[in-house]
This record gives sequence, C-alpha cells and structure tokens, in this order.
Amino acid sequence: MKLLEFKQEISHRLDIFKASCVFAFRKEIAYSGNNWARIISTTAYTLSMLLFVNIIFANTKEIAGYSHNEMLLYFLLGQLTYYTNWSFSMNNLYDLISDVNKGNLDMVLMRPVPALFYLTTRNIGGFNMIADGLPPSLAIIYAINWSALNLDPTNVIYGFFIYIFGSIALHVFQFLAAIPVFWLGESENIVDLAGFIGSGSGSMIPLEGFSRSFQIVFGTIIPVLIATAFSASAMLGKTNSLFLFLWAFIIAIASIMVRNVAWKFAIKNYTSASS
Amino acid sequence: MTKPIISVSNLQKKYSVKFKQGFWKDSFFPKFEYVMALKNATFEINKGESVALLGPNGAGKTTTMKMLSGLLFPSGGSIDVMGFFPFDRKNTYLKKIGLVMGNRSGLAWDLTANQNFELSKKIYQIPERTFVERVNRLTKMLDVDSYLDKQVRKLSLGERMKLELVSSILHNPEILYLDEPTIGLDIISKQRIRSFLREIQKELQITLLLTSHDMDDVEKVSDRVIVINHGEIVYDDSMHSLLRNYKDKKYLTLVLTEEVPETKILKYGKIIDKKPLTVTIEISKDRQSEVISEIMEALPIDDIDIVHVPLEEIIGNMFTKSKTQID
Repeated sequence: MKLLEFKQEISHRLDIFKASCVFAFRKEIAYSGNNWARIISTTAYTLSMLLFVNIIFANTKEIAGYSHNEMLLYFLLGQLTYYTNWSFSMNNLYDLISDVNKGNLDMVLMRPVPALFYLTTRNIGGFNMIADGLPPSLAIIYAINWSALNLDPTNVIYGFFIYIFGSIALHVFQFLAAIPVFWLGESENIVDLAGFIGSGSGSMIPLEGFSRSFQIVFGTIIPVLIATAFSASAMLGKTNSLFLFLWAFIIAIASIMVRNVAWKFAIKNYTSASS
Repeated sequence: MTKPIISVSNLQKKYSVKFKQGFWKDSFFPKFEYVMALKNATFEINKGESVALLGPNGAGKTTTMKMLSGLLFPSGGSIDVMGFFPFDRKNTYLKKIGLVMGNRSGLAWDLTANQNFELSKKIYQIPERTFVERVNRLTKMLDVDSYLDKQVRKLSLGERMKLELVSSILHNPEILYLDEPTIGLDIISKQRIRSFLREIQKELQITLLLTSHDMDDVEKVSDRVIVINHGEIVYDDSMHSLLRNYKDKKYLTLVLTEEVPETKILKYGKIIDKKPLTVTIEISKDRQSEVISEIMEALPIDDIDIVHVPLEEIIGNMFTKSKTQID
C-alpha cells in the first residue's frame, strides 16, 4: 500500500514538474525580443574568459597543478554549474522572495501540490538555459584538446554524480540565504551574495588551490566547491574520486534534510503580506 | 443535525511586529512586540451558507480567512474545516477550497488566461472534457469568454478579476474564500460578480466566505454576517435579523428649494447628513406619513426620497458601539 502511495506521489510530482516546465517555457518565450541580449552577453563573457585563460597560461605551465587543458575543463564545469544553478535554483529563489515580499505566496500555497517541491521547481523552462549556455559551452568544448586529457570513464561517472550532488548542496545553501525573507520581508541581496559565492567565486579556483581547512569549510558548511572543484578534481583523477563521491553524497543528503527543516520552520512563521 | 463545514473555537492569532528604535538598534538589536490580531473567535458555518466577515481595516477578518484557508498557523484555539486542520494543507483539502483575493493575482501576467487554466487543469487533475465544459460555462456566465487568449497583463482589472474567479472555481471547490473580490472594480463588473457568486452558490452548493468593505457586495451575496472588531466577534447573525433590527427606522432625504436653518429640521428627526440644499434625517417608520405631511407643509420641499437605513450605517454603528465598550 505504501509503495503504491509512493509511486502515485512520484507520478503526481512528475506531472506537476512537466506542467511547470511547459508553463515556465511559455513564460520564457513570451517576450522573444528580450531573449537574444542574454545569449550575446554570456557568449561575450565566455570568450573573454577563454582569452584570459590563454594569456595566463602563456606565462605559466600550471596553476594549482592544472595544465591549460585541464583548466579549460574546469572552466567548462564552472560554466555548467553557473547555468544549471541559475536555471534550477536562483530563478526559483528570486520568485520565492518576490512572492513572499508581495504576498503572492498566498496564491501559490493554495495549490494542491507539495509546496516546497513546487516552489523550487516551478520556473525551469529550459529555453534560457539552453539558449544562454549552449553557445558559450560549445566554444569551450571546441577549445579543449580532449585527446590530451587523462579522463578515466569511472572517474567521469563519479564526477558527474558529484556535480549533481554539488548542485543540490549549492541550491540548499542559496535556499537558506533566501529563507530570511519570511522574517525580514526581503532577502534578495543575501541570495545575491550566496549566488556570487556559489556559482561565481566557488567556480574560480580548483580544489587543489585551497588549503585543507578551506577545502573542508567550502565543502561542508558553505558547500560551494563541490559542484565544480570536486567534480573536476574527481574527473581528472587528482583526488580519490570515490572519496569525493561519498563526501558529496553525504553533504547532499544532509542539505536536503536541512532544507526541509528550514522550510517547515519558515512556513510556520509565515505572516503573509497584508492585503 | 448536519455537522458544520467550518468549525472554529477560541481561535487566536498573535503577530510579532518590529518595534522601531532607529537604524543601528533595528539592525543589530531588533525588538519585537506582540499584537493580537484575533482573540478567541468562535463560530460555525454550515454547507452552502454565504457568510460575510466584516470589520474595519485591521480588525482581523483577513487573518481569520487566512487561517481558515491554511495560509497562517493559528496561535491558539482550534479550526476544523471539512475534517481538516487547514494549516496541514493536505492536497485533499486544497482541492476542496478556492481563494480569491482582490489585490493578489493567481494568474501569471505574461501568459494568457487559457495557458494559466491549463496549468490549473494539470495541478487539480481535471479531466479534459470536464475542464473544457467548465471553462466554457464559467467564462460565458461572466462574459469573459472572448478574453481567454489575451495576455493577462493586457486585460482590464474587471476582466482579470472575473478570470481570477473562474480560475479559483475551475476545480469545483466546496468552499470559496473571497477577500475583497470587487475592490477597485466599476459598478457593472461588481454587479456581474455579485450575481455570479449567488448563482454558483445556489447551483453548485458552494459555501462562500466573503470579506468586503463594499456593503452592496455583502447585502447581495451574503445571508449571514459576522462582524469582527479589534480581533473580537461583536456580531454573528443572519443578514435578515441585522436589517430587521433597524426596520423601524427610515432615512428621509429632503431636497430643498432654499436653505433652511438646522433648528427647523431637527424637530422632525436626527440629521444624518447635510448639504446646502439636501438634508438626510432619521425618522421612526411608524411616524413616516405623519412626518412627511408636516415637512411638506412647513419646509420648501422640491423632492423627498425614503430609504431604509443603509447597511453601511448599521455596521458603522456597530463598530462605534464596540469601540466605546472596549474604551
């Protein structure tokens, strides 16, 4: 009986997720003229970063033990972290903050859907992620000399899962930064800060560039290194990939538990903007 | 006797409000004080009833509605709505209720009403045939069927509000919570919405709980009135009883051809409103014809209008009385 209920719940969530994706996609393409500027801006940023990496490596062979080619792979993972983080996490968190601030959360909470699941997945249209992320990612993929990289398939698979676990942990870190909106009425700047630390500076320096204590802090309490730095290190075989996989897995599970507790606490204290 | 659909006992809500002390203290040592928005409210509502929650701004009526709908966690007391504790927000409960807030939008602005309804169809798991039939019927009833493919942000307030209403009852709820549903609307839209609410209440046996500052909404839509003031229920009875209490009084609006001193008018009744050539007085219904004939003889009258005491005045009196008692 419980298994049947569980299956029904999963199926219901998938239906809601699909409907939300279609809904968000429609919103993303509602103003076609607005979409192209972001594609140009992200492509221009990526090309300037590629140029920057080229200039740096013209004067040195390695940074934190990473060759030019390895650094490009690291850079690619950093870019993927950025796009997935924005599309899957930040967009939903900004909507959550705005809804709490303006009182529109009332209307969302009235829907017969698991509220936390819906609020953190309702704005994944996919169009912006692909349109913004694909051209610059292709540029980096083209710049990497793949045959020169020492990529073991097992390490790549571990790296892929570490990337997913890291993205979950990063999302929860940003979610916790958004939660004060329930008490303060606004938390956009706090989320901006978390976003900057997470998908920005968290993807700038490889894992091996940090001291042991910083690796522990930025891999646990402020889990901003897992998605990019841990996964790159695991894929390239620079650190034991199974060890990093287990670390990332534990942090992701702990993060989900913290998120659920924080949400229950926040929603119980929700006062709703006056109407 | 049937079990009430809504049962509330000693319901309380306490808000913590930030105490202003200045920038630095507010930033590092914030202090909060507690405000009781609702004090020991007790009432029951039966299936199919249409009840108005009335009160001045800040009285606690929206707070009550938000606790009933499950948005707010009560600070004390108990709530039972169709066997559910609303704050649990169980899907089975949420599928049985609808909420319309006059100054909130449940529809996404960038999309059309139809695209919004499509999402509701998925969320509420409404079968395609039923969905199409309901959208057609409800939008025709409110005369908004031609706006379904227009972007929501391009609709007028009245059109949007009507579509909000359709959206909130697409899933056929048993209870519909309405918080100021006609706020800011023109008279035609208001009338349309009022008659629509009455129709769906009768036809679908929906229980309506309404808050509004527009007494016409209340009079046209509700059968029962609960008045809240300073977080306390000060009146709970049928609309009929409320009006009956004042049925022995009438308002006479006198249109004069020239200005008349107040003293000459006061002897016929209490002055309610006075403009240079128009005066409204309150008289006893028993003396109505006698007073009118006296006035016609003694005053330079152009026209006389007789009305029953407006609901607005009745409720206003109630607020004043309950405030005096509290003071």
